[in-house]
Amino acid sequence: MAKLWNSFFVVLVFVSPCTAHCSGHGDGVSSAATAIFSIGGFPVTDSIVMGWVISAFTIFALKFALRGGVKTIPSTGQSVVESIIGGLREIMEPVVGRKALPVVFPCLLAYFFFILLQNLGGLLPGMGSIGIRIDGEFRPFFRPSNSDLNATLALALVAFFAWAYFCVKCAGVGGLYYEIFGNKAEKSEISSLMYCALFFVFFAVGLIECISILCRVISLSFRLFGNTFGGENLLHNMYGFSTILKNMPVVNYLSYLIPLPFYFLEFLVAIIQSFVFTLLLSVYIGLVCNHGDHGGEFLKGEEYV
Amino acid sequence: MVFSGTVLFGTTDFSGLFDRFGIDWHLLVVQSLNFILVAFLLYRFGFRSVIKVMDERREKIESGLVYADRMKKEMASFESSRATRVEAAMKEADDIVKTAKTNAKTILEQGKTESHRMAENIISAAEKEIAFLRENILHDTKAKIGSLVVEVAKAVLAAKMTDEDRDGYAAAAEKMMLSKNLQ
Repeated sequence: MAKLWNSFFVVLVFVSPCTAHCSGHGDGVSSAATAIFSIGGFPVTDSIVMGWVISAFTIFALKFALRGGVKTIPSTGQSVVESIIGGLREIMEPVVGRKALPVVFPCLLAYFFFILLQNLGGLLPGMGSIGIRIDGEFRPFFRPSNSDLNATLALALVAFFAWAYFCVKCAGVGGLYYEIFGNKAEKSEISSLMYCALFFVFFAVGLIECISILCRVISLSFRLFGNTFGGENLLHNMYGFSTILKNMPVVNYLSYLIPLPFYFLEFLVAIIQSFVFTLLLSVYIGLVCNHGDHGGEFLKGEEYV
Repeated sequence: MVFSGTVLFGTTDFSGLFDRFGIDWHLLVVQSLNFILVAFLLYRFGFRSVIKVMDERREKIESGLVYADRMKKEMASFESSRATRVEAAMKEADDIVKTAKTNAKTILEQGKTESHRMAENIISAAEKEIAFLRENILHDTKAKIGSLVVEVAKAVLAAKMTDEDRDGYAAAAEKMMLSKNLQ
């Protein structure tokens, strides 16, 4: 496994800067994905192609890691998968809550693995550099999926509906309503008049909360898109900078090393962003389903404790 | 969002934003379906079985630890009770051995006494038997000696006496012998 990781780093570090983002020097990465062809009116862009490639790779990698079946005494591949899943579960369990975790966890895992591998795929050689030139315009075949706002927005929209589904499933419609609009004041601590007045206050706060919930779609999608797209531009510009230095007599041999530190940076960003997205989604779910700080959990059919 | 749109793109219209980033509902649908499909396949072919095995393993480890803990406690309890039982058994064994020794001694003494008594009885019976036999032998011997004397006397007298004398003497001798024997 260590050899595999070493090989991966060698490829990532020494090949990627030489090949990636060779196109369009100076213009930066296009903010919109480029349509390559269409199927039944649905345009297929370079980011979608990359998404499919990485998705297929993710599924096959998982199948490869779990080849021979999942056993109680794990193989090496199964141990790697289990260690990642176990680590994420350790982190997510206190956030989501023990009772909601079995329902929510597979979805969180899918988000983590999908975003992580899509982000890491953006560092592979050939991103933006393999394509065709039509009418003088270069159209790459591959673009990191998460540097397309459509992809991140789609992820955020699915996350929003998943959040709603999990909240209803775990807390019930009443629980969700109570969490957003419910009067959370202690009746014994305030006067009845104040308590009744607080119903309107909490309802107004709930309306603002609804806006906040809807804005999560924007925040989730733009955060991931901004980081990935910014990273792509950074690498692209660093590569452009290195090509300028290449013409200088003394530093020309060092020119290819300039993007190198930024690849490490992007490697970290890829991991962090996938983790941030997953963690935020789990926090959103946990805000409704998990009330461990109050000494109980809010679950369907149960009274809030 | 309106403010951001104004600053970045000089417009309050989101269509500019959508155009600039190429947002298209077709692409949104495709990307959403792509993720949902991948998530389902990952769950179906990987996560479900891995999570299940991890849960089973965790349950096995937890139950194993509980079992080991329980066994440890039972072992300690058993060790303690075993020591108590062994001590009690040792004490009981000592008592039994003591009792057995006492009983054996008593039985031995009784045996000795009984054997002595039996030996004395046997000796006494033997002595009686011997005395009885001696008496019988003496009686028989006397009777035989008497008859021999009579026979001898008969023989001696047969030579010098008549038959009548012999019979008279023989009868008188016999009477005398018998009377002495009877005495």
